[in-house]
Amino acid sequence: MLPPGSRGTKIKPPRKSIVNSSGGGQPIDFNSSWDVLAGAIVQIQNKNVSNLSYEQLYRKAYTLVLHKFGTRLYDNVKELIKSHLLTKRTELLMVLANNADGTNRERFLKSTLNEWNEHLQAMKFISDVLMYLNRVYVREQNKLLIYDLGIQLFKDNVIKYNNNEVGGKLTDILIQEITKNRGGEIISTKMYINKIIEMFELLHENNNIYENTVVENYYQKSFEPVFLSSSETFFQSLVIQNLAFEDSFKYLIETDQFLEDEISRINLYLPETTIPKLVDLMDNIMIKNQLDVIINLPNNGLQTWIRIIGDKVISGLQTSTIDQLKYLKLLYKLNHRIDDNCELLKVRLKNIIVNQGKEFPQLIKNVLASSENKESKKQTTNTPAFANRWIESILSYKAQFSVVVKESFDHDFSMEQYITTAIRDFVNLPSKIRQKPENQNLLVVNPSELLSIYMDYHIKQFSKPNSVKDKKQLDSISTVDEFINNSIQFLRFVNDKDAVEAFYKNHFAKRFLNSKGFNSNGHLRIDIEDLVISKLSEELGTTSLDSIIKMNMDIKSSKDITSDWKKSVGEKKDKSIVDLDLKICNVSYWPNSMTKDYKKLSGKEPDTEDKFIWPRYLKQTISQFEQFWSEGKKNDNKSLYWSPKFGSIDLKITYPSKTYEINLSTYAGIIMLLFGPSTVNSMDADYVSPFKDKRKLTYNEIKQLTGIPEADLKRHLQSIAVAPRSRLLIKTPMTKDVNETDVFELNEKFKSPSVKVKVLTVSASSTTKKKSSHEEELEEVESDIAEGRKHEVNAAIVRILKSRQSIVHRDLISETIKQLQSRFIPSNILIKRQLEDLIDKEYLKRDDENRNLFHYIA
Amino acid sequence: MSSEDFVTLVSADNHRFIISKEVASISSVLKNTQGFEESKTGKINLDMDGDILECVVEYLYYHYKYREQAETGNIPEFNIPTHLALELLVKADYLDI
Repeated sequence: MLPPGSRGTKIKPPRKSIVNSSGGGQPIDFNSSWDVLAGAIVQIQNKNVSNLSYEQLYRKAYTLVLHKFGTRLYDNVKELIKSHLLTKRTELLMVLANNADGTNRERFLKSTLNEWNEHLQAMKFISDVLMYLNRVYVREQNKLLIYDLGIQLFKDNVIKYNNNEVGGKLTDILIQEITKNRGGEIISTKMYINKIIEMFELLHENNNIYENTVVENYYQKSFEPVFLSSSETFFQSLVIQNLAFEDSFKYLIETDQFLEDEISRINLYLPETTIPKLVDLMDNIMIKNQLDVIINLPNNGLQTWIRIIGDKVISGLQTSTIDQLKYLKLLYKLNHRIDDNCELLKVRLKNIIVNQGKEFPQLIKNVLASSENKESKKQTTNTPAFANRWIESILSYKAQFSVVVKESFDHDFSMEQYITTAIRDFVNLPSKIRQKPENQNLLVVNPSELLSIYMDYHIKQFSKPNSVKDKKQLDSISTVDEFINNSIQFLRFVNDKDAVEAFYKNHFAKRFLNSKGFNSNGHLRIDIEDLVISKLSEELGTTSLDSIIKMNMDIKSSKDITSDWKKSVGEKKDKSIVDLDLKICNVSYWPNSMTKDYKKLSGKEPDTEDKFIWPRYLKQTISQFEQFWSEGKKNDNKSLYWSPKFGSIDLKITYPSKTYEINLSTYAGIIMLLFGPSTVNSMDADYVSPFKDKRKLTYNEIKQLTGIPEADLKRHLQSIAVAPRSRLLIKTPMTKDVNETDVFELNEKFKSPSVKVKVLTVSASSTTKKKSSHEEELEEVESDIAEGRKHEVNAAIVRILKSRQSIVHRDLISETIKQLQSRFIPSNILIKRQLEDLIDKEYLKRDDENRNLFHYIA
Repeated sequence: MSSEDFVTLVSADNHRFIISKEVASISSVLKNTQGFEESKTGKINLDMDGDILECVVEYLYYHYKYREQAETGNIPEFNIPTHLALELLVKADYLDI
């Protein structure tokens, strides 16, 4: 449509000079035009652009295209450029061949780049001249633009010509240079490397850029694979070289340094796309494939570093572990490169920790044996010294690792968890492990028992009035706190919480029963017991500590009864009544191991053979108290039994030289009373000083007169007749062991530096005959634990069934374990046995058809 | 502006148009003369008559002036003398305008 005002105006035809050529008339001579253009292209290639008239050349090309000579023009240009490049290629190879001054390779790189740049420049001008060809012919024919054609031609006729001759040589030189640089050499070809690689990237491999495929370039297709494979070889040789140190730290540090250098190097030279590939390659070859080897290197490897930390803990020396922290940090860093979770490090570390932790008991035993005197040959693991050392070592081990996690593992929480699990594993090493041949010599300890020993020891320390140095008393609150914290912290490592309770209960009972009386306990004692119990309740829950809490209540009521009794005695003023501190325990709450034979020993059961005989000095007091007790309103249905096994007696013995106040255990006291004067009052007529009397008693006589069970009798006789510091009696013959034929008499020459003497009962374990009473007790505690577990499993099963009504076997097992795992891990056998037990008791039944299904019987 | 910033367009019948290089660069052909003899002489000989060239130059300035507003379309129409239309079409193709 013409604009409205244009009507009537005439449109002039275009000038003939151009239009007519399309329709005939003067024929256009291709060759003469081409000659001009070809001449111009050669000029351009010789950098004589400024002497050419663009407009004329453009018009020539324009005319040729208009006259359908596009194809010929395009092909001619292509041939012309090709022959030019082939000449240049030969020149380049001559540069390389001429190695008069040894810099041929560098000059080769330089010349190649130079040719490339000149070629690009020329191609720009040529492309400008042939713009009309580009716009019309190339577009119609879907061919390469002239400029791109030029690049292709360069690739095909310079770089890749003759089986990739120039390209291969360039690649070789580049890789050689980079390898030199990797080796630490400073190279002068840095800037060429970059440029050549840029050039490689511009050389598209796919000749038809209009295809929608991703275009690959020469760099990706030819250079990169060669580079990566040569890098691989290099890395591998580097690995071998670094492994030769046989020192994992050295390996790590070398590797880390190399990785860092290499990354900055490739950042400099290579395109971004290669970086991840190369990094991957390095990580795989230098870390992933070698990490396990490195970790396991015997010399300066993970094991050595952890060993140093462990040694530090065991020896208690303030060794610096800064180096180890550094090593571990590097190891973590490198592992983290290839695995965010550091699984390998975790697994290996855990292994090493468990293995090292297993050795702790033996190591500690050795340390203790060497620091103490020779007498500690018999060192067993259930001494307070061992328990203290072991528990404190483990806690300090843990603390060391907290530092490691913080300093070396980047606060990695999962690492910390792994370490905690590892510690827990070796702490709770089952004693069964010794059955394996490689563990036969392993010293396995019972964490529950040791924790209880540890707590027992510390509670006793805190309750000793003034025996601890005064300085310590000042900060006793903080030391108490520290002790409780340590105990709780360790408790968390222990799997069998119920066992801890059982042992603690036992120690608790012993502390109370063996203590001398309330007065000497110091005000701290009750406080600290209360404190510990409340802390344990927080940790374990009050229900499980029920019996300990009730025991504690017994202690308090004993105290009240004692003071009531003393009041009533004071009123009577009966001289025959011995001063008495009472400890009255409700048998059902106290540990079985202590209460099992209470009836037999009380002297009340008439039919037992070795009936215990109370000395007449005490009989009066006993019957008086029994009367007082039965009169008491609160004690209606409670029967009272005396337990001479526990408690102690204070005796005042006047030796010829001096009068001593002697505190000894009840049994020992009763034995001593046999040697005492026949009347209580020295003013009586028939009073004969026991030292004049020179009463001699044989072992069998003592046994008959007292009715003390044999094992206990021997033990206490040893305490008062053999132990060097408290030899109140003379034993003939003077042997270490007590035999049935031995004869005892008072030791006139007994001497002690202080007036007050405390006779320590010889520990049971040193009597080597029979099973030591400690082992017996241990068995008792263990059977207590086993018994308790049965109940807990039963309770758990019933609880689960009550809420579910029906459940399949598998779920029941896993649910039971889940419920109980905070206290202990029940074995499948135990659960199955209790299941049968409950079926017998008709709490549940099996489904008639599905044997694996259980129903609750309401 | 120095003379460096201008270029002289010469028509076949020897009309001269001195225009800014920046404006001339709208035509890629005129622009591509950079580096060739034309940039040395500052003169580009074109195979077209003065009236056509005048129209081309007018158009270049018109294009230059409204290059910012081209997107919005809010620009006056460029009037082409009807009798030159066909010839201009050919020249515009030649100059790649």
